[in-house]
Amino acid sequence: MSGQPANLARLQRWMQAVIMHPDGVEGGVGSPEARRLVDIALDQLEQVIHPSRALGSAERLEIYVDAYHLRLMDCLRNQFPALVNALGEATFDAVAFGYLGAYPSRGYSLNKLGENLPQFLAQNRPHESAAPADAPSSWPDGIIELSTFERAVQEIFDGPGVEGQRLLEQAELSAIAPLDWPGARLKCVECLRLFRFAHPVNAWYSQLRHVPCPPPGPCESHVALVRQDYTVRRHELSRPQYELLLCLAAGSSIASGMEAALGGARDDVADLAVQVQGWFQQWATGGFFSGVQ
Amino acid sequence: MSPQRLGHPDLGMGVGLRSAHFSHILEHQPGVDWFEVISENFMDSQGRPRYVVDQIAERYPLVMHGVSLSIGSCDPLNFDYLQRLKRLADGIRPRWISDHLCWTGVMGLNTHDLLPIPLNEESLRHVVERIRIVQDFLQRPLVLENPSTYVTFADSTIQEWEFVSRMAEEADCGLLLDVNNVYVSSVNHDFDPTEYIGRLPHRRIVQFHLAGHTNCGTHLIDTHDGPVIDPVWELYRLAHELTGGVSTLLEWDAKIPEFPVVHAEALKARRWRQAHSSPPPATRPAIPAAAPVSVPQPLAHLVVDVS
Repeated sequence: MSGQPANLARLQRWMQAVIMHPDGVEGGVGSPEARRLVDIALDQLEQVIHPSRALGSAERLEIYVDAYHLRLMDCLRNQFPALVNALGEATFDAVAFGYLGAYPSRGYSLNKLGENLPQFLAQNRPHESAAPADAPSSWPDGIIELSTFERAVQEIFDGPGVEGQRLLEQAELSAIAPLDWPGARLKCVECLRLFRFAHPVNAWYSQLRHVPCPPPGPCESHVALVRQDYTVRRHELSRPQYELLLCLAAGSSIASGMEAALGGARDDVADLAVQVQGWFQQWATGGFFSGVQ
Repeated sequence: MSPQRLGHPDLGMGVGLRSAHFSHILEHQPGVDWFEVISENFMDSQGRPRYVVDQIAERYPLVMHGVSLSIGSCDPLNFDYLQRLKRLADGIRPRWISDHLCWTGVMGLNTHDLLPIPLNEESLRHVVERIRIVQDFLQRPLVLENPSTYVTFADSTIQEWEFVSRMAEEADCGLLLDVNNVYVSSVNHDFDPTEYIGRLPHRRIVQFHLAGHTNCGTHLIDTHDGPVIDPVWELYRLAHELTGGVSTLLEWDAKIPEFPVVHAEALKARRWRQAHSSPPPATRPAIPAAAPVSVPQPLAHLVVDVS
């Protein structure tokens, strides 16, 4: 290609600096970045943008400034409906506004716009003053966990899945010889994600998808997300189930997973052995495994 | 001389495919002539959106319409994006690929807006050169849409219709004439929309867009949130006469109603196309009240299915 058109490049950088500035046209035009590119004050804006018969130059540019923030905040609201209900619209919008400043979109698709929102919330913990009156002191942590969960749902929804592929069936599980069972390694599907939270995030999410509801207090919870038939499905797990699946997902044998599930306690071995068979049947039905390694 | 519509067929009256309508379309297979899909919503999809678009591609003609090509940007062309665009095209076999005469960001950022460029010789050379590169890469002509705009630059020296015409001729690309955008910009920038449409190279117009907009009193915003108004139908009639008829798409991207409502608006246009008579009555006039939070389209993101 021929060289970069200098005037166009400077104008585009200037306009982008103004549009994305958090303080609107006035703050944007006067910002050091904008003035380095096009050194004009707000009352000189006509040198770059013509007024129309009805609107001044700043008012015309303000349409793009408003649209930038409103469009992307609306997109984030649609991508995090449970988080909107948890925070309330005003607080969510303030979070989204700050997020767009810290993590402006670098992708060609809006589908990834919110991918760093959990990280942003972890770096900028919601202030307790924004919490509902009866919220526990761990409310900011619950919010961060909820955002992590809601983002994971989106990623699994549009990420790689196993539709159309052959999965491990219950009959194949049953066919594993008892002596082979401890050493067997089950291959988990790519769209299986496991979470340990300090709050009952899955139950909270279920309510928040429809209406705002009070935040729960801390209570450890475990949940698996997996996609079946193009729908993201949520499976509440017990701690032993979570530990076992975590080991299997890491490629460990069933025996190693059982060790982890027991957590060193030996008294529960008999009870656990009885339960485990049912777990595997349930997980096979849920599409957790693609085969035996 | 390039063939009429660059050799593309007149597909009739199409509708923009939106995720809110996926289930209805798969279940009822409505009598729509063709669908336009937002390329970026499906380029990386490995889930239900891609499954749905594959299903629809088996039953209907498709056109890919992009919002992030950023042909006017001074950033280098994104060949990773182009590769993914091409891969999607190889998969769903669209009749053509379109995007907008605009830029969406520089320095690696994306504002996700269709931002205007100053209309002058420098930007024309820049855009034409990039169109040629993209066309070589995609191995097909690009079809570019005139955007709605809300500012005019002191650096502009060329009328928009002239810029678009020269761009199409010099780059040998097609045009997507958004009739509503011409109307919106004509009000915002005080030009004659009939002159604009009359002076375009009509043989290069491959497709029309129709949409609703919001009247904010002092200006119009291209919100795609309602029916088409009478003055836009009038311009559509003119464009239809001048081109001899090309594929027409109804866009509805905000406050999206149930599919039958969108479909009814499209059927209204199809009946009119068939009758070649006066334009159909609008179901409501442009919104007269100021709407300060109106957001220009496009919005292109997915609705998640979770149980």
